[in-house]
Amino acid sequence: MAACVWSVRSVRVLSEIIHGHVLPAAAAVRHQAGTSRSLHGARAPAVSARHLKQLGVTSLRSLSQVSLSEEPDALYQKLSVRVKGHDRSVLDSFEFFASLAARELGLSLERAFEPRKHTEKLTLLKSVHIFKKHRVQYETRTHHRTIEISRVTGSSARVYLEYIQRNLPEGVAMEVTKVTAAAAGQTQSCFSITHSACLLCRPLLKRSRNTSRNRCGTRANWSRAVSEQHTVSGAGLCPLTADSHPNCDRQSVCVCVHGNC
Amino acid sequence: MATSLVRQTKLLSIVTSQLSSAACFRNIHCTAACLKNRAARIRVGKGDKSVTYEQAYHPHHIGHRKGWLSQHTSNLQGEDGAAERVVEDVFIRRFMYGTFHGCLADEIVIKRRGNLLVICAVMIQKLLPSKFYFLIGYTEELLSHFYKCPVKIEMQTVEEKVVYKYL
Repeated sequence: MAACVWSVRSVRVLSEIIHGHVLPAAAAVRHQAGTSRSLHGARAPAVSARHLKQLGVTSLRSLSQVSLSEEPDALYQKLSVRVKGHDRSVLDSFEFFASLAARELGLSLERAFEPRKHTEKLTLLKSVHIFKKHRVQYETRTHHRTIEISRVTGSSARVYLEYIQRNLPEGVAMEVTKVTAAAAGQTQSCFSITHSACLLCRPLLKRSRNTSRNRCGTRANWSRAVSEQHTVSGAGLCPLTADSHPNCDRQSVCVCVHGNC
Repeated sequence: MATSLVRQTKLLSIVTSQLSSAACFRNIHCTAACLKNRAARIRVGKGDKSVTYEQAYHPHHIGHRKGWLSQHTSNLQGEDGAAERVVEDVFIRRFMYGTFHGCLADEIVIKRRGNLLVICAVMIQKLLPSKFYFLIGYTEELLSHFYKCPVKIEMQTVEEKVVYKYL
């Protein structure tokens, strides 16, 4: 219980750093981070030492490693965290923890659901030598839980994932799938193809999925566009054929090869 | 039925001894194959045997009334390395049983969090605390050198073994 309370407080500190708020002195005294965890690679605005002391952050070492670079931050359309374990109640509590952390950090939690459990059964002979009719059965159950977070920046995703992964319970494994998205109004060569609900756009799609591993070992799916000449039109128009596709939700679902929906 | 079977076996043993004296060495199976499950079960006896909670419940109660003694991810769907973890666990349990001989109140719980190996043990207050501290440090140092990973021991002591029931 104490760990849960501490984690909520530290999550508030993290959220303040991510969103660039600097607490006034009176409010900052209430927030006391425990043993501070390093936020490697977390992008934070320039925060002065006085503010940090008010926030109660004890170690400045991690924040001083933060550097602002000119290249734009990666954008993820969807961040899917799938945890699996043998004990359903452990996954229940982890889902509560992860969704609370996402809510406190201001990330938009799309949905948290439970995929079907998987049972592996073994039927073995009971006796060492003979007695074929007498067998013994074992089964191994794997329960799953998926938490989907939509429209995150790369640094927010990194911070959130690091926090989640440091607090993974024992006996629980996690798989992370990141689906990248291109920024609106920019021509980029990498963007995501998730599903195409738009039937007219579908034959024009060319899916080439390059799967590669991130530094932390998670798998990131992204796909490359063939040509990047057209900019985002914004309305519900397909740039290639200039037809209007009323069923095509350009913002999230339909992605055409030649432009960004 | 049991007494009749016992009488039958006695008769047969007399017969077989006579037969074996006549240089005939055949053995006869006279009971049906019972093949009862005997794994991790303490059989019910006269009522003088004390038994802990872990020993009292049978393996089919794992997940319902019992927890897991060894917690790692290699038995999950799509994960590997189960055999190596089992061998490590067996070694760790024997090592702890031998190092803290007579002090263990119950089975050891082994947890793996990333690289970290956590051994949780409940001990009887048989030794002085300073001796316990020395043994904890010795175990942590040796096991971390064996397995090339940080090893932590979380220990709790009780005055005597916690009895759940008598069988």
